Amino acid sequence: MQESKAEGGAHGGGGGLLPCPSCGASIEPVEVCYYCCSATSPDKRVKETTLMKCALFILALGVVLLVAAGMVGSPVAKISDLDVKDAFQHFRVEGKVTKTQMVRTPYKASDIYTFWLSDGTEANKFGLKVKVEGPIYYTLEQEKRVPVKGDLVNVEGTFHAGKGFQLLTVNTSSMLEIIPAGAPTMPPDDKGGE
Amino acid sequence: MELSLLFMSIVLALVGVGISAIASLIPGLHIYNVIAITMTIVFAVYHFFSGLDPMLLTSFLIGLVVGFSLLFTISSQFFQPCDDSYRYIMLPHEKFLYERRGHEAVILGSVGSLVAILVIGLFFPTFGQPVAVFFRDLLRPHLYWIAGAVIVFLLMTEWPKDPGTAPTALKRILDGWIPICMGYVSFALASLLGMFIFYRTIIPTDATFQSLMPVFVGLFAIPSQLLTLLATVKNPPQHVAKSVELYTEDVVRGSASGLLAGIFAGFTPAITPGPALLLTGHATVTGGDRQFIIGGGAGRVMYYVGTLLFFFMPGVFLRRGGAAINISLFFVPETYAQFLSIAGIIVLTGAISFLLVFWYSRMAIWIARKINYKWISFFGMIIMIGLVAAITSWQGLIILAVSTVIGMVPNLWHSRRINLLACLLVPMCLNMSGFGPDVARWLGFL
Repeated sequence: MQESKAEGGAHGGGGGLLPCPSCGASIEPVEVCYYCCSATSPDKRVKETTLMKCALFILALGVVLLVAAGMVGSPVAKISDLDVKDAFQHFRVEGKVTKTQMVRTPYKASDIYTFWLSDGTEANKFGLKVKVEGPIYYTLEQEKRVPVKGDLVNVEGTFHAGKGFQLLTVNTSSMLEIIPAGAPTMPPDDKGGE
Repeated sequence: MELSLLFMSIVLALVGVGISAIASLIPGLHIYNVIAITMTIVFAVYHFFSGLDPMLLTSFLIGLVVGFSLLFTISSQFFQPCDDSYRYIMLPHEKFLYERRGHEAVILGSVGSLVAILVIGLFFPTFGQPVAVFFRDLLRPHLYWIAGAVIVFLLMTEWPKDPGTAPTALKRILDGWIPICMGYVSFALASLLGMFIFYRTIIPTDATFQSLMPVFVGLFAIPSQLLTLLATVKNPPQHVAKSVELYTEDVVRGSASGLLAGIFAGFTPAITPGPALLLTGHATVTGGDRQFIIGGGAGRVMYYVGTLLFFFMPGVFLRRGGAAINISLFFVPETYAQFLSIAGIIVLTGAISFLLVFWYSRMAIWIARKINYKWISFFGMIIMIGLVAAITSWQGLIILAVSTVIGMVPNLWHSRRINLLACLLVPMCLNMSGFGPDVARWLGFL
């Protein structure tokens, strides 16, 4: 698409001249266009197709990142490694359910199901407290995946901690998995979620 | 992350790029306005969206922002020609337009944007998290005085723009000082408006997530379009260059100043890429039109897209820019997989948007040839006023009217429009330093 006329353009000259590659004005074969001061030599210019090739290379980088996103998972953290400095970060833990509790309210969405998870590394008696809010609990109940005492569970969520309490909140039902007896478990990492 | 979810996220991000391409045809329309419409629709039909994974809507919004950050300047490049009666300073992209090199200016700016996309894709997933945490912790206690220093810089760099050719000494003094003083007046008025918006806004409570929309449309978009309507200048025919004059030094120096500006604006609340580029241009000693244009492209993408990615970085907890604020209304990202997938979507849509630029610029040139730019600005203005009315009701229209009057001051007295950013800078600086409520009380807003 050539918007301006190369020859006899707005500030172009007569015949036998070359169009400036930048502004399209007709100029004599000079190094620098005397209308727009652009270099006319091809070795000082980059073609559109070259820039397009660069964009395709960067597009490939995007695909690599997406493939990595599809493969990466949160590593399993030891419960004993979690402390108050890790508050509001995302962690995956794996362990046995030692205790459960259901708090029912007049509103189903406000019901809270809590269970405690032990991986054998924790300092307290029952392990890490894991909270499942009403809507997620009822999804798990529908799918018959509510963890009960003795179940081996792999769960990830947001870690909350303060003075005297530690809590993992499950954000979606897909982040909780009950591991069938005898299935291989994931090896604990030094500290996941970072 | 599930493959089907990832695939759907990519599709929706590309839909976002497509919509941003349409929205970018309207000069002055900001993508945050489009996000505002999207969020209003989402809130209206919440039950439909509640069953969907939040990553899908997030990807759509990411596509909108990425597409916009690469395409939105193309319309103002061709549809808002500079009239020297109203704008005293001609920026490099305007100079390119009058030299029939508008397409080349678009490509140069996009080269800066592509460099920013590459930096985001390469360095954010690898070194981004510790670096972001370091600078977040380093800057957090000092942000109020950094914002204050930027204010001082903006005020002290206002200069007399009159060539001093008036017949009498008094007239020459007045010609020199009036633009400077009107710059300070527009700064003061914008500060006052900003304090009002922060402490006593009249925007209805259900639209407060867009309380700044009428202010920015009024201060920047509508005055530009009004001036375009008044302009008498002729849009010169454009040459579509198949190659651009480009040197490694231009790419490196231009991108460096732009990336630095984008990052600085991202870390410092109330600083936008414009003043940040002014600062980093001085700091990195950039020179020449090409470096300026490349820096602008890199700065825009780093600010709109790069700092948005901070929001998705696990453990960083930085929420900067309107897009992150809107996404945080329904989604709090946490996992590394989510971060990587968003980074991948940004790079993918960024590269596709760059490829789109070549065709998009040609289309804009064609439109500029077929339709009078005044009509484009007129319809753009109608759309934006309609949007403000639809989202923020009549209260928003009142704020829009006041903002427009303030926004006209720099244009009519040849002072810089950058002073209008006081509407954000001053309240944020006062609030971060702890004096905000006292000043608001003194002004009668509390």
